[in-house]
Amino acid sequence: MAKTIIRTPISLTDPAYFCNKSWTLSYHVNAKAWISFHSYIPNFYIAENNFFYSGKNGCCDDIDFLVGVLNNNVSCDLLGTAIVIDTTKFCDLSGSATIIYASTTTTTTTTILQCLFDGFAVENNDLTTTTSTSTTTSTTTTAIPIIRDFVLFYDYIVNSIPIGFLDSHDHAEKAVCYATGYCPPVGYQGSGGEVYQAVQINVGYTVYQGGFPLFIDGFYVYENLYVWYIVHIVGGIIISKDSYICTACPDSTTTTTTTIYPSCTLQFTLVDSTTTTTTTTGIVNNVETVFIYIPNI
Amino acid sequence: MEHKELLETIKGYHRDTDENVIGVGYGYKTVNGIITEDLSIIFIVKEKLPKENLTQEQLLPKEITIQDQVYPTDVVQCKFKLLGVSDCDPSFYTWRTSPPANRNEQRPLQGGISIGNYTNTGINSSGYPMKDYVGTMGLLANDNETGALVGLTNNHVVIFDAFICSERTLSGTNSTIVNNIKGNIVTQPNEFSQYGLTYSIGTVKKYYPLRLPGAYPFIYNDIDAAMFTIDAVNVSSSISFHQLNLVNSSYPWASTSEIDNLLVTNPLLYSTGRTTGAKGEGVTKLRPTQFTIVAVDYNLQGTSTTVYYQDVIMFVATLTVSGPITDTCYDPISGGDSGSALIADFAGIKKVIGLVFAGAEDGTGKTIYGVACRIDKVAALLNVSAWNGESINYSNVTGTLELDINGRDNREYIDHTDGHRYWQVGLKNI
Repeated sequence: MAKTIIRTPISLTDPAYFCNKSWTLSYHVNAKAWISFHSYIPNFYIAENNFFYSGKNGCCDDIDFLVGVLNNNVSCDLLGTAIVIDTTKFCDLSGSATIIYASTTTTTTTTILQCLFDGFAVENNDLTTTTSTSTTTSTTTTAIPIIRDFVLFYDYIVNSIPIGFLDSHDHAEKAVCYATGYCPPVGYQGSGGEVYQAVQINVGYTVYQGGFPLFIDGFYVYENLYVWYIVHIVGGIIISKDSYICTACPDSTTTTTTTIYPSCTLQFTLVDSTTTTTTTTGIVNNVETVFIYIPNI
Repeated sequence: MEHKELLETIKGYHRDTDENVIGVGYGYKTVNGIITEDLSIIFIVKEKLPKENLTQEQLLPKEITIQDQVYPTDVVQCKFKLLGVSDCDPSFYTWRTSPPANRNEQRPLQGGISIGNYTNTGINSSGYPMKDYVGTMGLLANDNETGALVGLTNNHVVIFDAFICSERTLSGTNSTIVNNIKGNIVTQPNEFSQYGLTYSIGTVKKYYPLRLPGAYPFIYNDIDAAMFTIDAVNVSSSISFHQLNLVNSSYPWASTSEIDNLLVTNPLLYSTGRTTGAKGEGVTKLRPTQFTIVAVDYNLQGTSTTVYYQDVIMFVATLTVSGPITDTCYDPISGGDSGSALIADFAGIKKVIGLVFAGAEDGTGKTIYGVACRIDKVAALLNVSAWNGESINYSNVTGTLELDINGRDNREYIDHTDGHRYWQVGLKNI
């Protein structure tokens, strides 16, 4: 009877025996210095008159977008190597990121794509004007701030008695608890809500109603993707925002403060197979991983 | 041959065999319908194909020699599924016409009763909201990190989407799932006419995230487990460690060596769950048959996605009390029993050996195997231990602390400088 003898060939790619720790350094010939570090080994290169690009196709399953922040007040001035996480989605990109202010591209567009990146990015503020030039063409495009509608709730009524405008964080929390069913719904008639406009419901942004920033100072609540937020508006401007999860109808209240990071606009270089470079604006949806700890009574 | 060495060997075959092979394990060989007591290497295939339809590479060996010991091989056709039915003694199937007490409101709480996540309305890959799903609370246990009493079940019973955040894409369905568990209320029984916050028994606390297989060498999952807080008002220190309608006793947890030697000691098994009630103490018995690698589908952002489990326990229902199993019965487990504790009798002492989380169908669509993840691995990975009625703490859900880490994090938990261990619960947009 034949026997099968187990022999296991060991491959250079077998992580049980070998660990690939390779990486790449960029050397600047004029500066005569090593100027950059890359965590990957390139598998394609593109040379232009003034720039030399390197990148890696099919690399991005386990490598996150890596950018460094130079200035978080004016625009997304970014430095470093960008690698798109999921090349099967909207923006099929690869290669190196360029700095936002300098474009030597042959074609400039301002198509806004819902490119989803991971990593660190900073506030681009309200979009204003973007100018890009090149040696052969000059294109100026005005980007219009995206004004979105938000439904904000401002009061609630119980047993036909208006509890009134949400004049405190406690009131706002209780309104959320009514809205999510944690407070007994006796005679509860729901929160009053209206549609308001803003670029973002984030700290520092102005909220409009019918085109005018005429707002009653106070607290407002709204829901997004099953998460309720409490927004404090003074003089039409959002001065604070935090998420609130109601777990019980509050006898006493506590405040949970969540740091809100703005959404961001990045500019990056799209490298296609014909080595033509195109500058495209993408909107970054940054994310956080949430960890929790539940203590004892 | 030691358990660990056998596992590594079957892992090698799992990597190297054709994709028609969906699981490889070791256990008792089946000959002419009889589960013998001869250990064999078992290949679980989607479909048994005629030899003439197979390439040379697809042919499986008739025997495998490992360290001079010759093991015959066995090929079994079945398909693993999260628990969603030849019947033997009618007493084993009373649950089909008369729902067992496990589906009633049970206070004080005990192991083996129906639960659900009442507040999560997320639509899973089967197209149903989580709140309409029910499973089983296997048992009450001690969360070693806080010394608090918790309920143990499967992650797929109470967690909408249990994949680790680093496996998620940032687009598509349910890309942000901060509400995955945070603040989710567990109710009991969550059955027809007995559902809603009135039946709240606790809040989801943590789960051990799932990982995708990836490329060679594959990543294997070990457990399908989650825990939730327990409200003190629902607990009796003299009753709550029992298993509903099984003999009233405490149930210590089996050691790793006791579980490793399960196919040597070959004990009788017991379980009690939401759908099929108490099993093992009647005429129909439960018995272990093999340890194996299995492939099971889970909800990843609304899409049914296959993950691999290693070293899981498979068992059958039978009328054969000892020796070769000459008969097997359908439905050793059924849909809704997910999360049940699997218990083994070690020389008169009954100990928990696992959490039931899946079943395996034969070629006709009927369930013939139960599948359980090992309790020693649940203990190690979720940092949890047996509770037998001793004095214990309770959780303060309103005092929940949150730690937000930029990006899609690959860690199950973070040991923070504040001395607490924070467990990942999902992503949120910022």
